[in-house]
Amino acid sequence: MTSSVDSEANSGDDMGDVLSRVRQLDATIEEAAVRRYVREIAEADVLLDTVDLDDAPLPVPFSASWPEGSVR
Amino acid sequence: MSNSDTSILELDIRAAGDGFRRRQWSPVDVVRAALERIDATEPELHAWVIVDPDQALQAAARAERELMAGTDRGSLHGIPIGIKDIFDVAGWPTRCGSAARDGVAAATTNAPAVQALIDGGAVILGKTTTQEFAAGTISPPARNPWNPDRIPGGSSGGSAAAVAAGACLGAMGSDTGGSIRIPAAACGVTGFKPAFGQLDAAGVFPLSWSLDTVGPIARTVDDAWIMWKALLGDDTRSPLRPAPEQVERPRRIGIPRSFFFESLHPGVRSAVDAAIEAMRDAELTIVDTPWADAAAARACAFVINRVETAAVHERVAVADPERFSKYGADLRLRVAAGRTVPATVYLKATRARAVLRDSMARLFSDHGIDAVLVPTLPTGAIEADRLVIEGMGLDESVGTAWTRLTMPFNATGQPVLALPCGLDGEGLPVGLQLAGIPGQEAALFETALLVERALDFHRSFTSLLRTGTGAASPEATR
Repeated sequence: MTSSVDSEANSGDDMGDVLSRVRQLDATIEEAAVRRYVREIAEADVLLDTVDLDDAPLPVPFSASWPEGSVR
Repeated sequence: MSNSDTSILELDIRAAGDGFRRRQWSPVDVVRAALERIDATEPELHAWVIVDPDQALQAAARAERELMAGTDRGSLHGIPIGIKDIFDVAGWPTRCGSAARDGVAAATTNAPAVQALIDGGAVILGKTTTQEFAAGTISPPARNPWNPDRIPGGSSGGSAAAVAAGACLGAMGSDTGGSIRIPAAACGVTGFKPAFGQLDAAGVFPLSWSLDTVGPIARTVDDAWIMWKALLGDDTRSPLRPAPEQVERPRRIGIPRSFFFESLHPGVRSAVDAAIEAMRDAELTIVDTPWADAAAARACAFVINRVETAAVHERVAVADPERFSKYGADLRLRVAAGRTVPATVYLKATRARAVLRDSMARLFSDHGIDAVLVPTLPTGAIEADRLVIEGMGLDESVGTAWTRLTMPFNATGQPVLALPCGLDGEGLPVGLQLAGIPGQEAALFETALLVERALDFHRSFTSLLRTGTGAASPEATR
């Protein structure tokens, strides 16, 4: 998992684009910090892919209420 | 500080109130003792950003007069409380721990949560230190009463440090990724993250609007219960029921070991394992309940948190670069980089959230459990000048490591009580989380009360009061 995330997170054009957009807001942010951030999001994305979203509701306001009756 | 003052500060909320009503001491006595405690501890702890002794003593005197006249607002009547500095309190600025909000005007109204505590009779002492805009786990410059070289955790670090130091009997915090539970664990006190959406978070500066919750930090489960009931606007006088002897059936507690018990510091693992054994001895039923979605739940909350934080602060970053430059480096990175997260990732996280909530609900129903129990932090409080976690196969920032075990429950949105369970090998508190079912908070508190009594650790903070901060030891406590 890590190697695919690393290669994805660090792939040249994408990283350059992210860095450019980040530095539009703050030119002092270090590239290493941005790379860490991008890697953490990419790792999270891989984990989210383990969730079966086939029957997931489309985004709606989240309610913490416990599902009533039988759970899916 | 005199011994008598110290002994007042050792009281829990209900005992302090009982003394008011028996006229053994008064709200003014307790508030004065708390103010003296703040004076004595602040040079090391930096837990408070605003303290208003005159206003607090006036409020305490008013509470005293009301009680003398027969007006009793309940168990919080006359009790000194601190408020995290992201909540609006009328008359004080909400600075959110940020230089970017220097000079901000004082709030003109109380956040509903603050007003509910005041309506319940609480005396507001002041505002407590927060990590900048509640985005982090360090809470500088606040320090930990158990060892002032260590951080108190965060982002509600000032609130937890103040409660642990005996500077107030309760405090308000907020929890988006663990910010009530993390400092509660690091400081050896009790914190409650309500179910998402159950309390009004208006008047509280947002971090991530679909995850933000507000809740109490206190010394004991019953103290947290009293504050919770006051926050709901309910009667706070009724004791938490049932007492252990009244429990009709053994409580079943599920333990999902994979993910939550990986990469723990040995001292944390020992303390939590000992706590689980103590619970078994107290005839709580402990069952293994593997939950395969824990890592995904953490990822879900992480993505939502990061993207929404960027959205909250983006306008300042774009429209007022000078003000944005006053943000700390970590938050500037979060805001600037958070804007670049693909919308598809954020939307995937929001959809996954409902699936993960259902997955957790199924864990409860399949195993017939009352609560899930896991550690709160993988380590004890770390040194303020060394903010990385190394060893145990880890080399990462405290922010990443310390939210690993708390964030999954922000994704599921369920209520969670964090309570202390023992000490690690360095004499620092270790905490555990009890996660329950939304809408069944009373049952969660009752289960937590049984756990608290089985562990009998919750009064160990009194050693801090007797010896001053930083002098607690395993021998002095247990």
